[in-house]
Amino acid sequence: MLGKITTFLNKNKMKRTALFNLLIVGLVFVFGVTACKKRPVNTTDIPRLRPIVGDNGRGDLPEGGKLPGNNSENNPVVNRDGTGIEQANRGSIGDRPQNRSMFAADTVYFDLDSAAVKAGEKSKLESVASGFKSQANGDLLIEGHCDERGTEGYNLTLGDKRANSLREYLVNLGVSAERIHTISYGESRPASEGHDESSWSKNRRGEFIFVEPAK
Amino acid sequence: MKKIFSIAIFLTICAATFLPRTSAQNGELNLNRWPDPKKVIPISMTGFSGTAQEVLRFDLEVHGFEFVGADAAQFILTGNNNGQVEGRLTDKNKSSLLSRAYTGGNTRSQAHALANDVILAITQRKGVTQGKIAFRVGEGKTSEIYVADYDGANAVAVTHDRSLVSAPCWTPGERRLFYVSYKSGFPDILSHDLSTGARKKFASYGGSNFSPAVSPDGRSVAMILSKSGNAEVYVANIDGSNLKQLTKSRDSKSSPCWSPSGREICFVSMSGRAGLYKINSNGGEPRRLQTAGVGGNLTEPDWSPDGKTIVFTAQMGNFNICTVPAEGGNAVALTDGEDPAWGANSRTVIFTRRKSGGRVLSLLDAPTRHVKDVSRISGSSSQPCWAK
Repeated sequence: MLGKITTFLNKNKMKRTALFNLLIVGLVFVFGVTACKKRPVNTTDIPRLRPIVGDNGRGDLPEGGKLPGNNSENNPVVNRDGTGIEQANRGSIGDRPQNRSMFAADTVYFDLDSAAVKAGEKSKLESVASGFKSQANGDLLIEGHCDERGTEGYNLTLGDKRANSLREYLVNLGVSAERIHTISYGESRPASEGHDESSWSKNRRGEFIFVEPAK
Repeated sequence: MKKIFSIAIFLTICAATFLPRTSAQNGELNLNRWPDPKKVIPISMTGFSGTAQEVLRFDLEVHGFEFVGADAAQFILTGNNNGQVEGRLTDKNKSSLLSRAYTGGNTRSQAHALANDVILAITQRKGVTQGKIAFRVGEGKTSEIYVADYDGANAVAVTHDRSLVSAPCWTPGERRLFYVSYKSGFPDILSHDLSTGARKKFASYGGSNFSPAVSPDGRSVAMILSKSGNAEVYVANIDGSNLKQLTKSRDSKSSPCWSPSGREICFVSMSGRAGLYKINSNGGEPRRLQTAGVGGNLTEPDWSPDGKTIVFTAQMGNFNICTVPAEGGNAVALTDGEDPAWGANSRTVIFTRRKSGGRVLSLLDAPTRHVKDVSRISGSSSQPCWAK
């Protein structure tokens, strides 16, 4: 076919020029119309996204990583250099029954944005100290809570500071540091759901929970 | 014939020399067609409908564009979404800046891709229209981690523990989240593989295990632990080895974040009022970050990917999203809100706003201060972070 055309073109030199011009004009026209009017020349192909997979539904949370001493058996509390009293690892306290009523009357309340133990609250801590010391076994868990008026990130740390402030107070009253653990809930577990000072003052608190000894 | 040919060549050379904005020049000069990021970009848009139109409108408004009539527009976007999304962008002089069709994905992802190309063509900087976010959704006494597109579409719950969670953080370049979960009864830092759903405890010391922040190179994790009896900043390798305590004082610390170089960490320290501090990620003395012009508790810093600016929350009566140069200086309040996080363009900030009935996520265009809410899912959404 190509050979035939070449022969044909060679035979008609004049015609070849005309035909070529026509062909090129035609091609330019066709490409031009396709490019400008019909669709853009450039295309982007969106890659297929792999699905996001949530937790696998099983209850287990395997230990991962190589953090030293992570959740191992209780270690002795040694650090008391003035920047805080070191906490023991949790050991089994997460698995043992909690008694929330033993110290329910001793919940300590705080001023806005403060972790300082107020003078009027000190008798509650003395009551917790003597009550807990009379328990030969078991642990004490201190929950630190905040009102909703800080940022969520700030409140988690403020709750931590409140719980540790109460813990230090109890250690200074002679309670064994190894037996006191803390947990901060920030603002996520309010005692009262309102959005005014009467609720906020109830939410800025530290609660004491007795964790039953291992049987 | 030869004469005509020479003239044609001469004209071509003239055109190449004197006409501006040839494609080669664009590449070399990196021509920003909208040099002042503080000015909104007037654009007109025709031809799109339904989801494509909604997505383009949302994306461009979030990135500092304003929709105007064709006469007032500096840029004109036309196109269609008949089958696939196609778009053509010209400036007001009808010079073509973009002409592209999109295949694959769906209308929504094609429209996000077109919006990104429009933003890139005009500002020479990619948008965050194809970004993903992770965040916390609280409902009643429980909360879960969600992952969604940056505009809130395609939201998926990635935890179902009916416990408490906080502070999701994406591992750069990986489909892995770190976050805090109270599933064990105590706040642990977990790592979660988003491809398989497999989870592991990363940190579960006595006291608090809070606020994981993966370094820009993905090799280290900064976090808050209170095992010393006080909330302090720690750094460990991504596999948990080589744990190191960075700070040590009576003041409680919170919310560490990394400089893009990975050499510094910015965090919050509460001595009386909470303020912002910086420390070298391999240790040393913390340095107070000067934040002139804003008061109250300063919390939740996030360092821009270009390294220039730190965004944070100031509590001055209500909550304000503020920025300050990373080396310290004058701070500026941009809008009401809290817990900000920079997008990859160092321009878009996602943050939390309190609204009646809870919290919602919003997007702030830092230079123009435009704010748009992310589409809401039920419950209270907060603590957003970007996929990096």
